[in-house]
Amino acid sequence: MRLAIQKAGTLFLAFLMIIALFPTAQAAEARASYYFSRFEDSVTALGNGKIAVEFDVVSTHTMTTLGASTVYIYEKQSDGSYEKVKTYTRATVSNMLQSNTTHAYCCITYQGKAGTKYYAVVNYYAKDASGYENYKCTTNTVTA
Amino acid sequence: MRVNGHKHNSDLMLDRLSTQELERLLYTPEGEEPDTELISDVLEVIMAREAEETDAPAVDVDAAWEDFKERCMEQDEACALADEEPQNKKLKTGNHSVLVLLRRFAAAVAVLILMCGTASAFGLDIFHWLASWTAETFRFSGLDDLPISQDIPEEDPYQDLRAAVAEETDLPVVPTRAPFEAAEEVTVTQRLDSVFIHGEYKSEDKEYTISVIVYDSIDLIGTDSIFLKDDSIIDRHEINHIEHYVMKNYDHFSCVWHNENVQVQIQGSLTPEDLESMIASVYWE
Repeated sequence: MRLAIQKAGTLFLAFLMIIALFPTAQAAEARASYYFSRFEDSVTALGNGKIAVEFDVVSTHTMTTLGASTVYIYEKQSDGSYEKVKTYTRATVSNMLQSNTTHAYCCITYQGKAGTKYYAVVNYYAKDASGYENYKCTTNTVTA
Repeated sequence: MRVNGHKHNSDLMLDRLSTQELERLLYTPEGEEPDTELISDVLEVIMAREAEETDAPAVDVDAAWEDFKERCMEQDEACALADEEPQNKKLKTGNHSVLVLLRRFAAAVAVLILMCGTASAFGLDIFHWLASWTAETFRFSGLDDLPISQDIPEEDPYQDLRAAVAEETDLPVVPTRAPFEAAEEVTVTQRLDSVFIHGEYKSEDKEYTISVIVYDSIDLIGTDSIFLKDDSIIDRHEINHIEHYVMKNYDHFSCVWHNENVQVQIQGSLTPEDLESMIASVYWE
């Protein structure tokens, strides 16, 4: 009986040690920011090859400038690789960056090729009196 | 130490390298193709070494114990203490038991420390659990932890937000309690698959925001949203069968939850206590 309890205890300890070993990698995923609090970005197929890139950002406090500095659109090529086909900046889309706010939203449409896959990379940007921060996010992939 | 191109084990004299150096050879810089043959040779040497270590002769415990007893008896005789042998033997057995107990205790402590360190990655706070267990009463985190005071303010601090949310949903998602007096500014953004209602609350030196996102479908909840947090523990509060997650993002705290197709985030210059009382006040009637 005592031996059985000892064996059960040993097995339990071994089990706990195995569980304890693998979750550490997940902790490394956490990323904090003095500027950003929430992101949301996606690409949606609108039909006839047209796609929409939407992004939304909430900052921790009021920013003098908030939004995205650049948005890149990537298109899938015949060899399976993705190539950057379009770059948007504040010069081409005026409301990509907004002023004196804690929330910025923008929707950009792009005429792609029907049946081709696309995704976007959004470079978020936030600036206040003490400095600025960038944060890069990659959206989902859609077929236009 | 990086080796370009493949060389045989004998060429590299892998046997002469330490295991640590061999493990370094296994590393392939990002963007470079791994040298699979070299890796195979290195692994072979490492595994051979490990096999040698585990092939150490097994210890015959019984024989060792008998030998130990004999040596002790001889020593006891030499010290003219042979008549006290049974007592000494008992004492030695007692010391052995204490040693075994100490080892077990050390192992248990090691496992507990390991669990505490790693379980936090899952958002579990073992120390918090232990604190709960050692309190006079035990209860799970939930509504009982939250302030029960229902001093509903006469003037609704979220008048504009509540009106904007009411246009989109009947679900209770807007708090009733405000942590401090603040000016309210609400914006409503129509998105492709949702409506984003954003309230900013600012006083002279503090500010916070309440974001209410009403999605067209419950399937869209959380698929593309990222909330930033540091590596501290996420505190969960279950109210009305809804999990509310309180998290820290450096010097800002935020609370995130969803109720059916509505996602809510409150964040800013708030303490966890502010957030807890605010989320409790969402459900006050």
